[in-house]
Amino acid sequence: MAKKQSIEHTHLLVLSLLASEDMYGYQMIVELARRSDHTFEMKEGTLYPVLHGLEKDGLVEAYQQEAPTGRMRKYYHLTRKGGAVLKDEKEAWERYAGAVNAVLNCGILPVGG
Amino acid sequence: MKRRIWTRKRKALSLTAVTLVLFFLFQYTYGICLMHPVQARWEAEQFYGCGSTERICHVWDGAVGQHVTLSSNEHALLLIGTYSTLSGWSCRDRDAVDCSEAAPLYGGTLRLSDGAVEDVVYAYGQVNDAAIDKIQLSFCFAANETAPTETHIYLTDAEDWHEHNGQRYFLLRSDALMPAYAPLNGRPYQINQGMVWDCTLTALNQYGTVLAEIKT
Amino acid sequence: MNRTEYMETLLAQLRRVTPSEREAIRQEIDGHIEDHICSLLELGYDQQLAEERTMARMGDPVEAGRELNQQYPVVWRVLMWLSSLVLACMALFILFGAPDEDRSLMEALDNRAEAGQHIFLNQNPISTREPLDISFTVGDDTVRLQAISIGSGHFRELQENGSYDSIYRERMASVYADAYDRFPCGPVGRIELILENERGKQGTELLTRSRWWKDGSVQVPIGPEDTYVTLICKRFGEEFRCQLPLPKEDAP
Repeated sequence: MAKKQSIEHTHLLVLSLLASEDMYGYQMIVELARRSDHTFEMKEGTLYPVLHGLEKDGLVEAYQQEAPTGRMRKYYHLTRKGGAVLKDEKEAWERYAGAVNAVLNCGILPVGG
Repeated sequence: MKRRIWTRKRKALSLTAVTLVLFFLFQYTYGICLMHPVQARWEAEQFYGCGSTERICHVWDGAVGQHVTLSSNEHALLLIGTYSTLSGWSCRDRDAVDCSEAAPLYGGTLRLSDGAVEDVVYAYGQVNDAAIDKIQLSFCFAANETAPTETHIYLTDAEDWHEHNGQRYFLLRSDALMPAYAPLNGRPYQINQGMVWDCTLTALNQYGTVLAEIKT
Repeated sequence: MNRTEYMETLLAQLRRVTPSEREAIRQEIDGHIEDHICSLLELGYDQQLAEERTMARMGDPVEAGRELNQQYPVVWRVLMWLSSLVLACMALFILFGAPDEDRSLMEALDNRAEAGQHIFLNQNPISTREPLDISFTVGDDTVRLQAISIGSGHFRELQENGSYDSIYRERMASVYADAYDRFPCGPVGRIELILENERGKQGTELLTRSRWWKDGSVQVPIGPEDTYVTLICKRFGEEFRCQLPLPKEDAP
């Protein structure tokens, strides 16, 4: 069984989720687990400091909307600034991941020694 | 229905913007809590109704603790003394002269006080006659009703004057006028600001001939 | 740790937030816990097990609370506090601190809106008077001439020795005027009115009252055959002049 990976680049993941649609907190947790095939299953309480931090920095903005249960839910929406940061972070991540893959692929030992 | 949620930063900045707008309106309405000496000059301009003026010269007078500013426009000369207080900049002493009618010399005098002890008399004006080379300020001063009368005379030469937009302006300061300490109303002493009268500005040419005179 | 303990522990770490922010955070995280429990209930879990599983997934409330607290910088709260303080000081001044003259802002606005409330011609007795409806601007101030009268009163006259004396005159013309700025709360500048009779004799009056509204009546002695007076207002290059017919006096 593969170990659950520790969450790095949490901000990048959250911004990426919001790029597709506006979401509320629990919805992000569910969607993150679904998209990563349960590889990323973060401690749910730690999502909110990330969200409030992104809101403070202007990368996301929040609004309240009535849920089907009648309760008011806080939804998050990716701002234009957040979209630009997401694009930059994604490119940086792809460069990093590409470099790691390149190193790993060159280091494969030949069969039989 | 969506209801946008404002961040703490946005709420703070919005409240600050509203406060600033209301504060400027408050300053304009009551003429207090002025944050810059130029606002005190605008207040004086509003008081006299002389319109917007341009600064000609500015000095700090330590004897009375005020910034003395001479400004003018096409129709007016304005002299004000400004000082800072806990509630902002203030202008207690000010004077204006109407310069809209043709004359070789416009002038006025203003007595500035530190509010407690010392007074200073400033003479100011605009010189339109090229032949005028000197301006003399003279006035009578008595420290109190029983003190002897002193005649003060001060002179300013054209080389000390200011040029602005092709016009010549002068600003002349008297010596500090000290009060007299005298028993009054049963108290051992009373500071008396003294009396100043017969202020006269006399315009002289290079030979000392009187070309114009103004009593202020 | 149950739901209530989790929330209390988390909220206890929030030292920088205002009461309304604290309540908003409480509602958001409590709503999250509620959503998770509901989704587990739908999968067939019972209430107690659903809550236990949910709380296990929430993590450390102290760490979450501390991290959340860091997202609320003090500087904005200080700025809001300072702005509120300035607003409060202004309000207190307007309500209690303004000198008596300045409290008459409401009176000034009232007089500005409706002419004719305070006509005072400074004569006794008045033999005849007529309303006037003449306005002119001087700089950014508006002067309204509201009434003209003929009557008796005191006239301040320059004597030969250079001093002014107040002389009683049987027959004088008086004009009442008020003035205000173009903006409702704006200050009125210095306005001096001159009233001149047919022989060139002049009386002057400086309008006074408050920072936002000034009024006064200017007078000049007139002769029995005079039919008009001239009102002059001069200020820094601007001049307004108009001839005002004297009101007809009733025959004795």
